[in-house]
Amino acid sequence: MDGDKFSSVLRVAGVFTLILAIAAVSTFLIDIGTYWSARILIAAVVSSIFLAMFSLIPRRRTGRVAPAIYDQLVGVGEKPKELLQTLKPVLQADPPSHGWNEIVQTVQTGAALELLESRIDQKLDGRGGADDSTVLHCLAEGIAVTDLEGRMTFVNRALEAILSTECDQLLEERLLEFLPQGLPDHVQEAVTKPQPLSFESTASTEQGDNYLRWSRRPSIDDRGETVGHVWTIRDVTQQKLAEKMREEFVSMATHELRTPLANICAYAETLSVTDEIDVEQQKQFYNIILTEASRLSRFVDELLDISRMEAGSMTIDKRETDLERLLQEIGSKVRPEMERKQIAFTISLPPKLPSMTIDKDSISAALVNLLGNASKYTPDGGEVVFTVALEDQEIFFHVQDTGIGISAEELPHVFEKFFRSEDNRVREITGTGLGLAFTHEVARLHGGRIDVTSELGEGSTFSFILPVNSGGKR
Amino acid sequence: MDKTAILIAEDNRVMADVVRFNLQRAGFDVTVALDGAAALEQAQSKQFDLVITDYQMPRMGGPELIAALRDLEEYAETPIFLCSAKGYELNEEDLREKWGIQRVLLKPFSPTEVVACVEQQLRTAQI
Repeated sequence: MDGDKFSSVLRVAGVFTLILAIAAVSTFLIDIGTYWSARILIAAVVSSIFLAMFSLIPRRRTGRVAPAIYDQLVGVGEKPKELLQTLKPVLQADPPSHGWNEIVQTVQTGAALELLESRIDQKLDGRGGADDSTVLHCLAEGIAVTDLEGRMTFVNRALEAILSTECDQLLEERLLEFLPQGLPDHVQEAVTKPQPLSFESTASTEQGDNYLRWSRRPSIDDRGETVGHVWTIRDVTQQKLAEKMREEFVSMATHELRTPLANICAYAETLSVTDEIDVEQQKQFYNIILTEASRLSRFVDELLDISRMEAGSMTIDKRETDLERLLQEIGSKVRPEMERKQIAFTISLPPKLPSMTIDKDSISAALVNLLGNASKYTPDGGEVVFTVALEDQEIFFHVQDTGIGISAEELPHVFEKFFRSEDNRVREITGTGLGLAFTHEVARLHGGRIDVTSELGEGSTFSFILPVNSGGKR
Repeated sequence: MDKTAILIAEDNRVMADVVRFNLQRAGFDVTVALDGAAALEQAQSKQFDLVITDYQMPRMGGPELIAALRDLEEYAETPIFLCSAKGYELNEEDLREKWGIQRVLLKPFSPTEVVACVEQQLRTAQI
């Protein structure tokens, strides 16, 4: 508001000066009328006009400076009251008594700008801006600022949580006292030196192993001197678990690829180097090679599906499918393994099955996966029931087993990629840790879902549910 | 003279069969067990001259079987071969030192090479 008032006063003064100059020139031209006098007077008029115009320039600048500073202060979140207090004597002064340029100069070089600069500096240094600590407290990483003696002068809330210690008990304490036990010797030596540093620590907690990544950088002042350190402490437990799961997957995949490959090589070599193998035996060996090659091929297909799912590029090709025939095919795929383990396998179908528009291959793979898991994790002589039911425009594929079951703690994680149970009975059986994640994705891509109920030692029931209408017609 | 008796502990029946086929043709008396626990039972009921065991098996894995066999007086010195598809994870030196394993066979392996290794091992044992 003050700026606007300035601006209008200055504008009026400038125009008034210009009118006065023009009026004076006209009077002289009329009164004298001689050639030289006229030339001198014209020069005077032009000078007056220039002077008058020139006088407008600082007026305009003055008119913009105060609001601009006001805006800047508001922009950095600072209340402009203090600035206005500083400017008050200047703003209230009679402009002609000071001169506009003087006012401009005062504004530009005066205490107001110093105040503004100091506020900005404080923000950049993080010395007092309330917003800075809010930002630091919002970070997921733990932050600690230490002085030259390694005492903490600032800690954020994330660090309090990571170290399970209140801020009051951390400030002024040496951060090195809070480092975990059992760090390697080279790390223990390095932390006593001022150089930048990065290391990881592991700690066993009731919830499992906890992994932290510690990084330290020197804090350097304007003169280039080290005044302390800034520490960043990040909880990398989830990353470590993901790495572990991936390593287990690679190990499992290697085993799954090598086993059929080893069988193929062994039988092919036996056939090639052994004389006098009877024809029946030869035929049996060739069949084994073929079976193992298909097993290898199936696993490679699974890996490709998984890879597509991982890349988020898994697509489905929906076509009208004869569900009854598909279920027969699925049954014939899983029955041999059920028979080998003497598992009582029953299939229960509704009187009439709808024809559905689905991606036959992925649905078949998903259901074979559920039934394959049921036979894998059910002890010899157990029972697996595959029930198909129609209910409220949905089709339910229930796979119920009398297997080892899943604990309540692990149940919410079974559809996560690479998840494998910690149960030793599961660990003994080869699995990708991706089958259920794949099945879940197939259900999702068809607009369906998958549910599970389980009791440890009693068995599990997986329900693969698809919408009947969205998938196609009945 | 009785044939040299070899025990194979391997849950992959297809692999166990081809190794048995080759060892039998080479003149050995071969018994197959489909997991570690079954192999230990076999070992306790009959003395074998050499044991070939897989690493990963249900009920009782290869390392546990080897540890249990080494606890038995009659198997303290018996040559044991460990075979596995997990090659890169196994440290052959550690296995030799810890359980006195004579050889680690990495899958895929050649059955004729297995026969040759068995024959060589038994010759060394006789010397």
